Amino acid sequence: MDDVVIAGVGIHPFGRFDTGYREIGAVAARGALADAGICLGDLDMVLVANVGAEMAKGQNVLELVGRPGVPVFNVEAACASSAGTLTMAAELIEAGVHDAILCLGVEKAPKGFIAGAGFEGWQIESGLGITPLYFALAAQELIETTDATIEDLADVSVKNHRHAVDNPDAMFRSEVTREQVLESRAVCPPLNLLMLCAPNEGAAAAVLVSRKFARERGLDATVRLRSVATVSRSADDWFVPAVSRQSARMTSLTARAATLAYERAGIGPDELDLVECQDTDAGSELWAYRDLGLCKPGEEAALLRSGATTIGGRIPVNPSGGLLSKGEPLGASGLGQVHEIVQQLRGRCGSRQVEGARVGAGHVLGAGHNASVVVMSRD
Amino acid sequence: MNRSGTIHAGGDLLSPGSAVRLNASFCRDCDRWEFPARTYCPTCDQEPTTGPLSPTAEVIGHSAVLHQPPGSLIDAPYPVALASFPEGVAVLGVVEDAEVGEVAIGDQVETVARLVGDSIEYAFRSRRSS
Repeated sequence: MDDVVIAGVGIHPFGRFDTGYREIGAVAARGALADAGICLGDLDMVLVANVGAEMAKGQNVLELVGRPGVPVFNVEAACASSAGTLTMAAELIEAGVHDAILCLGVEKAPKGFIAGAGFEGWQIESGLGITPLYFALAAQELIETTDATIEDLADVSVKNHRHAVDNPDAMFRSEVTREQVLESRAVCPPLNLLMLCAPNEGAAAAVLVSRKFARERGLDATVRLRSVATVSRSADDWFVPAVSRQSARMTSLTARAATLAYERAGIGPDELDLVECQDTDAGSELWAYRDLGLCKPGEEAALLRSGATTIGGRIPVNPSGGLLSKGEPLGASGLGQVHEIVQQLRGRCGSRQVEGARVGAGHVLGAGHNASVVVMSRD
Repeated sequence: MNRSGTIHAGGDLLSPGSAVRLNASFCRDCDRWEFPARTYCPTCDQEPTTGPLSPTAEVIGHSAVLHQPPGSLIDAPYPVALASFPEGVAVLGVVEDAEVGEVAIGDQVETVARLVGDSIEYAFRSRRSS
């Protein structure tokens, strides 16, 4: 992908707020437009990612921003909803159909376990309709089949919480110790509360434009979107909410999305300077190390222990603090990653800056079997 | 009555606690079972046949639900197993006769009928206590 510039990004902090989703979304949308230096009337299209709000949610948010008169489409793919907007916007611009598209993700998720994750009624009533179970089984598999330990799971959370101390948009900005994580309330063994992200509220947005549009309008074309690949369930994947999988064959949604994204970008995982990944739980971050090609299978814990994935290391993962610290506003989380990566590539992240960052990747993974990987670079 | 269709021959004669077999679909061309039974094979899109899975399975993963989930009619805490059937499909289920922490990888479980609300659904029972 050669022609897609991320000209501006905006964010509404992730947390808990008294305002509604419309106000939360409007803050991020206005922020992205102002950051890009364009107005709503310059857009060809608006794509809005959200999971839980009402009918015509994107249109309702925009009513607080302006009336562009262009198509506004709402996109839902669970925790990968944001990636849906990016995928469509980037492909429409790369194809020369449109020049300027606003991607907005917004969520005001209720507290507690994510309900309505696609489980059938009988699964919920039978006690099986609970998303952390799936992450617990994946974390257990990592512990059973590699040298990863429960302490490693805790240390992922410790790392990401430390990163978030310097992120004003994160929900949890206090450091935690390994002991605090291990002693936090058990949810689904081996996962404790501080190893799981909290669904919450927030919004993030990005303005995607063609290079020609950026040049003509004199916009900041520093950061380009080099590829985005989104995949859904194939025969041998297993994720929320499926009650079963093939015993022997199991494939990875994330690995498939990553392979496609790296191919399309002509950029390999060894060229990445930072990664924002879907740390729904601590084990998911370790799995992402493998599936994104940051390490060989079985070396996930070693990569973490080496300090490589901490800011200052070879390949910092979740320098924003990740979902474990920011919380997860489902529809906004992917664009939140884009916000972080763009600001990192621009060198604007202050004390959590990844020095010399030129290439970054974002990764989301959601219920209903959706995964996406996006690669961005600084020219 | 097994309203979800997860139990093979799940008619009115089912009673809680009785041994049952899960209702699955089988694609002959792909030599592949799917649970719950599907109207298509996810590998080749052909129409599979339906039939029962074996009565017992081996635990290949386990966890537990320690806090009452919204909508669950099973009282937490309870252990959950991912159990692999000889047909090559692994299924999630509550282990109804075990305490949290008692289920281990390698355990054998059997499928039994369990009353969930007003429907008969499946659960696992540890073979150690049967």
